[in-house]
Amino acid sequence: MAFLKLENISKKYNDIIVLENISLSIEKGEILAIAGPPGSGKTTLLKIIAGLIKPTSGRIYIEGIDITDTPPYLRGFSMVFETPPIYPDRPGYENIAFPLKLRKLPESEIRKRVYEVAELLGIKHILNRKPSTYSGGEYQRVALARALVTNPRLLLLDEPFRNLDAKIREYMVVWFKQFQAKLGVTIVYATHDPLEALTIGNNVAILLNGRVKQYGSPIDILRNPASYDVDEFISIPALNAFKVYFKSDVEGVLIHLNSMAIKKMAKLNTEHSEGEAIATIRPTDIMVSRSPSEKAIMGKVELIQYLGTNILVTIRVNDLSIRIVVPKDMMIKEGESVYLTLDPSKIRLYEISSGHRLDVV
Amino acid sequence: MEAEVVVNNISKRFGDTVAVDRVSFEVYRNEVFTLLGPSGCGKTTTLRIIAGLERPDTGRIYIGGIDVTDLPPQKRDVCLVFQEYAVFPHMSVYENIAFGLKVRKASSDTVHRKVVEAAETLGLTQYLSSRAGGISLSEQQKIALARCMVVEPRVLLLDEPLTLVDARTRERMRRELREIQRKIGITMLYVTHDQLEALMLSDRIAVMNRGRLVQVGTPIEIYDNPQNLFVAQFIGSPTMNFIEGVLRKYGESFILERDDLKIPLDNLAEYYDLERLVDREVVVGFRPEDSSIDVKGTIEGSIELIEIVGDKLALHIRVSRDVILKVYTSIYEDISIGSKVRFLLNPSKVHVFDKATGRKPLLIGAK
Repeated sequence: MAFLKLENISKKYNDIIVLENISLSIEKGEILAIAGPPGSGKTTLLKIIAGLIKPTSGRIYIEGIDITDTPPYLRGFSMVFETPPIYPDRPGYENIAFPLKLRKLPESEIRKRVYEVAELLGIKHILNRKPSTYSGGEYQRVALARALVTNPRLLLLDEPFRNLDAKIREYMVVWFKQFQAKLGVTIVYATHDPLEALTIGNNVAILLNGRVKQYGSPIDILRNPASYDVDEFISIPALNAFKVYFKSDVEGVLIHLNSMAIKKMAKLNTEHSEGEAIATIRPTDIMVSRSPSEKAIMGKVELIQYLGTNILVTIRVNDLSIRIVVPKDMMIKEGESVYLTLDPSKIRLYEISSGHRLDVV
Repeated sequence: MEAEVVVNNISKRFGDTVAVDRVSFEVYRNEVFTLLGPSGCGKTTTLRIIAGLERPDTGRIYIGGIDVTDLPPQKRDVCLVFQEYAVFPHMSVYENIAFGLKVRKASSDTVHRKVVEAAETLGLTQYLSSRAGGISLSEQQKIALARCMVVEPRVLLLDEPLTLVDARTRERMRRELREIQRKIGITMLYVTHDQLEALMLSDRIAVMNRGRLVQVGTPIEIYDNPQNLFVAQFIGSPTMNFIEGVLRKYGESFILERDDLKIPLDNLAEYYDLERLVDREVVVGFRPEDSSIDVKGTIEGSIELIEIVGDKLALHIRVSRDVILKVYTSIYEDISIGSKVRFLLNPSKVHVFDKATGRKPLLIGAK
């Protein structure tokens, strides 16, 4: 049985649909990451789980028990926001102890629990300091400690690392995953950054315009996006997308892109045997070489941008601009001619009107 | 190559703080030159000195061969784009772009031609009659850019222009800015704290730390060959792996020692003058992509964590009590948490620094 189960959750404000038929489940001790752009409904969904907002329809279950009408303070959950409300004039200890004092626990028990959680989060050294002296990472850990000190059944996190700069964030994400594995607490984690969600979640839900467009393991979502908008959302650097004409037969499908014809071994999920479609391929899935080969197409390097480990190259082929990530050791130059090889298995086809995936995987 | 901007030994103090400390560099015609560093490193002050908004305590500034140190901003032939969008929200996009030209009393024909041209280059044509305050932030920043472009300054100065837009838009804007610069071939002096932005946009980068210029080079030079520990730590995401220890010499072999961890460094002798650092504290650094899992590897450890990074796996490998190193491998590698692995370092991409000075012990005569 799933630990937490959301069943057809919808939320409407007058005529505006914020969330539509959200069904998700999460196992005990796992992290469910919810990824979506600003305004996609992530925060509303977290607040519904927390009990701070009532869904218009749908039910929520914890270990099989319906908690949809249970008030927030009886759910036993904790929530940490993007900018957690830490009291600036009180030292770390008091901030963390606060929820236990509300519950009127004996002072000795409070002290024991605060020190336990501070030890776990590596913040014992700042318990006597005021938040104004904290670094961004320390501040966020104090907020996390306060959420954890009550031993919540479920921890809800809303963009907890958003305000940290890139270097600290990189470190915190890894630290967080190790910490969670040790503690075994069940977490729902919302973020606007698809790469962060794919790194952190055991499972990931892609939330676009109030609907779950795909739900699965990080590897599965990366390898097999279900629709064009999911593919576009998770691809950084930006995806290559082209309008193409396809013709399918028993052997596979022939994709016509300008003057090129690319054969792909796949069945199509449509009754049409030919027509227009969107073809996508990620910048990391195209090979570049300086020497011609049988299936390679020639192009001219228009622009190069260093990414550190790699180089992002924009290559012009006839009137198409194609973005490709090449290894940094390939000393590629603007203006030179190169040869591209598209791996047909990495090309994905989508229906133009609905964005649904056409090639069957 | 012709220098459009020459910064000659400038310094600037604010009270007791030295904001800029004997900084010199040149910006060549048609290049994007970026001042990069953490907040407080002096990059913005340097830009403001070049723009004429601050006076240096000492040193001279030349723009287009002329000493402009004592000239006011409007006589320097530069235009500055700020971090905050300096558009007039109630005016149309057209009027915003035309503003600088009208102030200079250009003929109405000239104004019209230049505004339309700049709007075309920046993809703003469809918004020309819209109210500037009503369009998206990234388009507003392009208006500020267009307004500078139409007056055709010798040098365009940009102070963190992409800080306020969201992550995905920023990625797109970095590409567009570079494309536009390539198309019109203007000289740009760019300021940012974001190392990835600097790598993506620049022809050359000057890294600053505590008011000093610590390295100038192309993106590849800065990334692959950092000259000091600060640059090595600042550039690259994920951050380079670092191991601190003492360099020992046994017979003819050089070894990095830290507690029970011993890493042979013999194959580095052709790149560094290791002799100089024997029995001293050193820091050895390498990037995750410059190492590989290999049964013949010289370093052994156990996998603590596996992270998915795009199309690769980042293995976090514990090699001693308090050292965890990150190594990249393919998603098809058969590995699991807890298992033991060995890995190799690419010797030409391993960096050795003297811990006391942060410098590399380079061989005499080597680059």
